[in-house]
Amino acid sequence: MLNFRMHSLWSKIETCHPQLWRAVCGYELNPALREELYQEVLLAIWESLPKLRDPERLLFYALRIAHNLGASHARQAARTPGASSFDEAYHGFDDCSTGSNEAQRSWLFDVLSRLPLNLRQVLMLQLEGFDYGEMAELLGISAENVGVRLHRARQLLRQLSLEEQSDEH
Amino acid sequence: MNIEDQLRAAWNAESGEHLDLASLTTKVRRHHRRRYWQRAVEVILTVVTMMLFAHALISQAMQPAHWLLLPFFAIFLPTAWLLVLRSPRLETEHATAPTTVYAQRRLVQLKTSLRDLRLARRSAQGLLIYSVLACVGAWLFGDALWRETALWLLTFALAWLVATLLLTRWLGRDRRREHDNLRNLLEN
Repeated sequence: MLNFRMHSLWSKIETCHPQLWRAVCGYELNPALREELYQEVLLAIWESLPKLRDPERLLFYALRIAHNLGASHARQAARTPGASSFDEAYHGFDDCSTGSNEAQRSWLFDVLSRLPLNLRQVLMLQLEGFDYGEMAELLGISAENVGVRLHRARQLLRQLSLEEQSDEH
Repeated sequence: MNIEDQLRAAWNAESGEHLDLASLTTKVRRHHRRRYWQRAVEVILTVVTMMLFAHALISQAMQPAHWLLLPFFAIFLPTAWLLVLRSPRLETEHATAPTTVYAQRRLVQLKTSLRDLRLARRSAQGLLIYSVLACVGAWLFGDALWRETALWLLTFALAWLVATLLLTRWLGRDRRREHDNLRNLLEN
């Protein structure tokens, strides 16, 4: 049976938009492909909404779909040409101008794209404000494993940042 | 501000406010509708092709074209099914599962799909070998009608092989990348 009607929860997806968009940005650096992936995520959410049992968990449910699809889509070790270094972003951080925010965001997503997917996911979820238990439930791993992955992600992040700084000098 | 706060601030600064949600909803609705019709067209095309060939087999006397083109249809239809209808479409229940479960299920799908692509390449190569042999046979023992039909078969087989190689290479690259991504997800 064809069903093109909107689910009643679809209007509430708007409230999850920033979180979903950030998740997509973590898997794709190219702006055009980001929008394409975002559409794919929205389509999957659209199709999955009838199966959501607890409307209170809409964000969790939608983000799980976004991370699953993002992982399938991601290009490993992608790099944007001319992405800014953390140092450059850091110096401009207190400046509220759009340019410095742009540089910092660009650095963050560039460096995220260089993390292995299993480490990237936990870091993105932590940045989104999820605790260990929630991350474990979303990813289907133990809370201990979340801790291990986060530790490795941060180590790698520091290492990448140091490499970038040494490259500049 | 420490590095944690900086990372979080940079993360939260990306809010996608430039996107027009109304137009995205329209696109999603259109995409959703297109998927249904695409599936319907695939099924209709396959049924029509099978009916045409079955009709030719049942209603007419078997001519050289039928004998020679029989393997083409025997290869063409299963390969088209493998490539199009058995492509690893994302199932809704897979996408909503915890990531490790999603990765495991999707890996199984992708492995099957990569095997199907290999099978499609082998069958296209097999068809070409058959058509070359048929061509040689028709030239040695057949009349003008057999020769013409065998040449047509060879042309179709060559075109089919080139198209299959290009398509499986393109699909295989994407599916292998996704396969590697998901395998990476399952590592600790």
